[in-house]
Amino acid sequence: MTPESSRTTVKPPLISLESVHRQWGDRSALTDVSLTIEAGQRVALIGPSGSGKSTLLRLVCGALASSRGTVRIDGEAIQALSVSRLQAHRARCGIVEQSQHLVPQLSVHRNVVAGLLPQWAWYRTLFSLGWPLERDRVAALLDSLGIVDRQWDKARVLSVGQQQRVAIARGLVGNPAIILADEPTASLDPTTAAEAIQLLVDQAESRSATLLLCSHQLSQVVHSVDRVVGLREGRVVIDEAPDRVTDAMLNVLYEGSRERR
Amino acid sequence: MKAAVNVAKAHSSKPWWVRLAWALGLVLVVWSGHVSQVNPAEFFDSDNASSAMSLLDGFRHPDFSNDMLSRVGQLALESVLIGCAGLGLALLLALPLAYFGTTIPGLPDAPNRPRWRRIGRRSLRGSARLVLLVFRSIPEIVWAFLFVGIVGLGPGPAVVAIGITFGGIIGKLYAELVESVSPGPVQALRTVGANRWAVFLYGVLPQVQRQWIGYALFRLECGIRSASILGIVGAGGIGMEIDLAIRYFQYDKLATALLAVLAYVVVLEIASALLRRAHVGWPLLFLAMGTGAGWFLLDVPWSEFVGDYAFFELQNFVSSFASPTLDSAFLHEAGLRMAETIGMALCGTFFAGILAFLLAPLGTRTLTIRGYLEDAQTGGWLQRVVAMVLMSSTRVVFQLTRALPSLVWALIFVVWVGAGPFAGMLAIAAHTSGILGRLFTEVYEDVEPESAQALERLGAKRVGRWAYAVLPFAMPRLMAFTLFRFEVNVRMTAMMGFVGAGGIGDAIHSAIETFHMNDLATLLAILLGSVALIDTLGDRIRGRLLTTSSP
Repeated sequence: MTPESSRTTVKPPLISLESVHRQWGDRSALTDVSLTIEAGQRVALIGPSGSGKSTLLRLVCGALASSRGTVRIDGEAIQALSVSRLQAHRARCGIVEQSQHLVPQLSVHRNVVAGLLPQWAWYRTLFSLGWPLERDRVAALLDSLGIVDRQWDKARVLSVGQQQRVAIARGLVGNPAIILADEPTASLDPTTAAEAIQLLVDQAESRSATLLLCSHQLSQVVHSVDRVVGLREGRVVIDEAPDRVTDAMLNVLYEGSRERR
Repeated sequence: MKAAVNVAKAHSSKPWWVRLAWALGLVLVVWSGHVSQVNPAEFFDSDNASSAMSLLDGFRHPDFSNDMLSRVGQLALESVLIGCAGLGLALLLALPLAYFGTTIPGLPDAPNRPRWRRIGRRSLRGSARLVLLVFRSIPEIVWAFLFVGIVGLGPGPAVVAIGITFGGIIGKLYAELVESVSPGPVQALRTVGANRWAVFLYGVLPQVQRQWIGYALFRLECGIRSASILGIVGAGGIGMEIDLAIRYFQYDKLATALLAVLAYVVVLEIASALLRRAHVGWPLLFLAMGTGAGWFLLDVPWSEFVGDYAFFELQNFVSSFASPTLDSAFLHEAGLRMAETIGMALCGTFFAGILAFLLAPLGTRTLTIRGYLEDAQTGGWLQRVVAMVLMSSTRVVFQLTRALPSLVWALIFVVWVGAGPFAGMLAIAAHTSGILGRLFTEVYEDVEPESAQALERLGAKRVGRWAYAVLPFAMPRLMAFTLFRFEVNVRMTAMMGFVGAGGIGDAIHSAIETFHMNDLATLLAILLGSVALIDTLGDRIRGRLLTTSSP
């Protein structure tokens, strides 16, 4: 128990960042970021490329350490967690990666099941190489994403949109309490992108999971979230409900960058 | 409902020919184990165990007397020089053969020239390739034994033997590398009117020189390993000492000699790894100096190799191919021996492949120590130290097993489990596991890290990362390397009979010893044919493995 949580009886927020800095060599990816995210919120992280969105997600799931400041999960600092507690926390996070991080040589089933690896002991992992495990669970999930008929095809023969669904399935298969989606639509055309976002939001809703959704295009996500956080050069410049985000704010966010929102 | 249908489909998803190939492979492996007379009980048989113990005793008390040390030192130096000189000769033979035996991409044969010149070029290429095939298919120990009979004991036969066999191996690879250059620069030079020589020098050589030199360095290591053992047929170097020590059960002397071999092979391997990273000039200088030293310091009786007697004997040898022994009992026996050789090579490569497959992840830095994330999350210092120790000791095991030539392993296993194919198979397995182990770790470390990184961010542990994000990318290359090693091992296994470890080498040895040149011709022809067949098949399969599986 940390001192703060013992003092108050209020349930601590699910995720809280306290003046977090992250350096890459001399370059700072995040500067003095403080954020609090409650359980069940759906948050869009927007901002131009290189503004620190991915870094923030990786700090939350414990794949990166902050250079200064504290990342807390349920009131406990991530840095102070023991290896096994950290592992447990990471098993609770589902990361939806860009589709190019799938393994093209493996079947869709295997790519999805990779999302369960953090929860599996090594012998289970090795056994699964010869004998596919958790078939019903994966099949049900793929069914809800509409690609169950591709379950045993190699990932490389799928279309980009289908691959993105596989990536979503991988992030969701462990029934995560926190869904972290890192530019899940980066390689998709607008229609498929909108579908993918809708799928993610629906899934988050039906599992009552917390969703952190990175995107550099606000228009795609604005209708689906209940909070928008804008990052520019590693600093938080917007933190509003989606209907209160104005064009002026967005102009500041994207000023000098060639990307359109 | 839909899901259930797909679950059922899971097990019919592989095409039938893949299953057939696996089944066939399994049958072949079982057959090879049978042919190699695999019998683990031999390890623990009381006689065998006691000879193994006396071997180990020798290694606990190596003979470090001054007398022995200076003797071993001299012989070790001689072996190194033989290897260097042999490689120099091999390069002299390989370069022209590779040049004439290759087609340069983007450069048609003698364009705008009369038809007879094109035909001439084609037949020149065909014969250069045939010579390369003959050179590389006959193991160096056969050449060495032949030449010892002609010019007598000493390092000369070893130099020439290594020169011929390695010339064939190097020439083939050099020609293949030339055939895979990009045709752009070649065509550019063609359009400005450069002739074939100029195209080769300015359009092809710059593209292949690094690979050529890297391969020459690798072959130098092999040459020196080989030179350490050719002494068992009297061709100079430390192999004579090893042979004597085993023959007279002087295992303390054997230990000294083997430690010397390990020492210089390991030093050379490290030096060659450093040289490969250096500017091209350094390895060239190193090769030139080594070759020069070998040629000046060794007492090679060059004149005898071209003298009347040698000419007479070689003529004898070549003309015996015109009248090989064709008596059916002999052919049957020779065929059986060849099958045994292939079986031993297969079985040895199989076990080595399994061993390397199991151990290589432990020797891979990205899988044991670093992981793929920017912030290494490897737990406490104790865990890190354990991982470090595990990785380095795995690498040391690979290094030591591959440092000893396979024939030395064969001598050791003959002492342990007795003469016969089982010993030869074990020798192949031991030497190959070190080679494949290193290759496998290199393949693992070369795998693009993105997928593994993604899995590590999810929280997948080491085994998960290996199984789901490294192995799928590496598998085709692991199989291709193992297959290639099998092809090399067929040639290597053909030498095992020289130390009584089974295979066709035994028959070759006695044919040379008893001057039955016609028998020898038959045996070598069978060996040559099998090697050519296996190489061609292997090329095909490897080509398919590497092209169909790349995403």
